[in-house]
Amino acid sequence: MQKNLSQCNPELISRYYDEELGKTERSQVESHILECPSCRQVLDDLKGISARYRDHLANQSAGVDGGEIERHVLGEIRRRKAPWWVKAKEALSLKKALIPATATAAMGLLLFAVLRAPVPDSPSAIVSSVSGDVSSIIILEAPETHQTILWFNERPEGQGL
Amino acid sequence: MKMNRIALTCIIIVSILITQGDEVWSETTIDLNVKTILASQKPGRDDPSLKRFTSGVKDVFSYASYRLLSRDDLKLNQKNSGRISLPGNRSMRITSKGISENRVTLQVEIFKDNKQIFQTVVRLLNNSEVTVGGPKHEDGNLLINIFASF
Repeated sequence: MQKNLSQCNPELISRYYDEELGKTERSQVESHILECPSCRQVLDDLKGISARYRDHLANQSAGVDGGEIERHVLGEIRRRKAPWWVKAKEALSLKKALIPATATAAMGLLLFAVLRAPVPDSPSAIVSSVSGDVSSIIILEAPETHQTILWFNERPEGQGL
Repeated sequence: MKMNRIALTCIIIVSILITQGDEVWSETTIDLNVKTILASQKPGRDDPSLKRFTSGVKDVFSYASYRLLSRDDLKLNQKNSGRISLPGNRSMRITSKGISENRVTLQVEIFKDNKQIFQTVVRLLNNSEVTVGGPKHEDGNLLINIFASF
């Protein structure tokens, strides 16, 4: 305690009442209060003000139904329940969800691009010319894959052109 | 004046594109994967590595089994060729003739006893395949599947 306790200090009494003092200061203030009627009065006044404030609060909250407030708040939350697109937006705006989601989507696209067999929508090959020492030639296209197939029958040995 | 500027810009862009096109061709390598397959009416288990091929031709052929006889990888640059051996004293020569409109022009020749018996020129899409089939071998027919990417 810095100040001489022989002098009255209402601020110190207030801090004592609020239990903000250290052990030494507290014992010095208690000793001073025992000897000083003026400071004792200050402390009693503080106690009185505090008691009246607590009583007032208790009176004010006595008529309040906590359960009713809870029901009202929960009902309001349910009423204002966000639509799915708002929820999705909120979920995506979270970095924690966004980063793994982006990484997963990128991996998925990569796998799709790598593993997916390309299927052309036109014949895989355009035949510019075909000839040979063969008995017949057929050009086909696989219906689903559009793969071009050239089929030839070899001329039996010993048969010339 | 404005028209001249537009024309000049167009000429520059076209020149760049033409130059780029030439560079791409000169640097492009055509990767060819050639599978020699024996298609047979004899029942048997299909080769698992031919799953994609067999599903692609199931509507065209009605063979009971497909067996992979050999697999060859060729890397072709501009206007050069590669050769692979085929069963029955046969061979195949593939020559690249150029790339345009996402298609590579390939000349495919099949030789038997060093004599050309078949030739075709096809313009094959990038990442696509063409199959040449017919030669008799053992109890079935040979199918030569050529996959090109560039």
